[in-house]
Amino acid sequence: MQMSEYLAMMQGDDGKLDAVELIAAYEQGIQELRTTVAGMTAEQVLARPVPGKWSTVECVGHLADTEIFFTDRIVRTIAMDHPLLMSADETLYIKRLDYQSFDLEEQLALFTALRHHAVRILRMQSCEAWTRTAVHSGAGLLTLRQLVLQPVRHLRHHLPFIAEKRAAVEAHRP
Amino acid sequence: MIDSATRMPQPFGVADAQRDDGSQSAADLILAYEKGIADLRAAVSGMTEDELRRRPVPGKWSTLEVICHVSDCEQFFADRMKRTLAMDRPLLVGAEGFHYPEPLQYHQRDLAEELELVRLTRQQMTRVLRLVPPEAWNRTAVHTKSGLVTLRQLLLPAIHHLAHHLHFVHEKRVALSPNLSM
Repeated sequence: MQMSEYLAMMQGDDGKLDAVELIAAYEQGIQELRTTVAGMTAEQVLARPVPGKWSTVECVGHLADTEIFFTDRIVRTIAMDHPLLMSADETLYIKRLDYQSFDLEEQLALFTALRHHAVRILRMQSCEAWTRTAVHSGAGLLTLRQLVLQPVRHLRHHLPFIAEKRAAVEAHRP
Repeated sequence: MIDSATRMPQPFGVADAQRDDGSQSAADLILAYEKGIADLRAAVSGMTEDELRRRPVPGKWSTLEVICHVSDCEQFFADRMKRTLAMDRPLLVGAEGFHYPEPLQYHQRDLAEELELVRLTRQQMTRVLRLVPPEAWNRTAVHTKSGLVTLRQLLLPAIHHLAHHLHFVHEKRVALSPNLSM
């Protein structure tokens, strides 16, 4: 998939969700992620059971790290006028930041804290604030709505991959 | 209404942020960064909700505003370090944190939540930094305000920024309870 297609998939806004629903979907992601990995052993989260794909801890580390800049983008867009938001090549993070050495619970806790933090901020925003814009270096002009849609969709994009890994390691459990 | 423009803390400039006499090793810096978690918690320990929101020093933020400012800055400090480690000479965009208090309604935020976010951010970043090979400390990025910076020069501002603001938190605590200065 081309980056432009990927970004369109992540950031496209069909207007179906109102602000309350959008925040609810965003907040619900915390439990969705936790449920997806609940009960996996240390060995299972480190395994790469699907050829060519990340381990579970790498995937969750990726989700936590992207959540850091997703949250920063939301905050900048609320606080600053037309901030420039730089895209990031997420694929480079996993290897160079040694995600296999990450601690799953630490990543889950960080992800949770970031989402709680942003939910509190988002719930305080006026209707007008949701149309505030930023300039994303890869996607161009984005609204606050789109900047919240992206983490919602990003998480949901990755959860099936974690479920796939889980099914694979559990199938091979002695 | 919080008036951010008239309640800004003393400016924390590029020179302050990157102050480095070179005497500290990477390990020393990481320890100092990690220690910030406890320093921050200790600085506000025991303060009441009312005290957190008071502005006892004319023209300066409340303690909660300072903590929220620190917490928000920690996110982009960590993001900058990770981008620099992961990507080749990324562009890091400066942020005007002094404008955040009003639109982000700092007095509606929760101290425990902010402290926990700083703790988790620094804890995870500490783990990352401890795995960084020696040569990676010379990796560079371009910061829109300070120009070409190394990873080391991105860690230093996080350390100095927190220390800078804890001084002001102490000042407020003394203003609220003068016997603390004794």
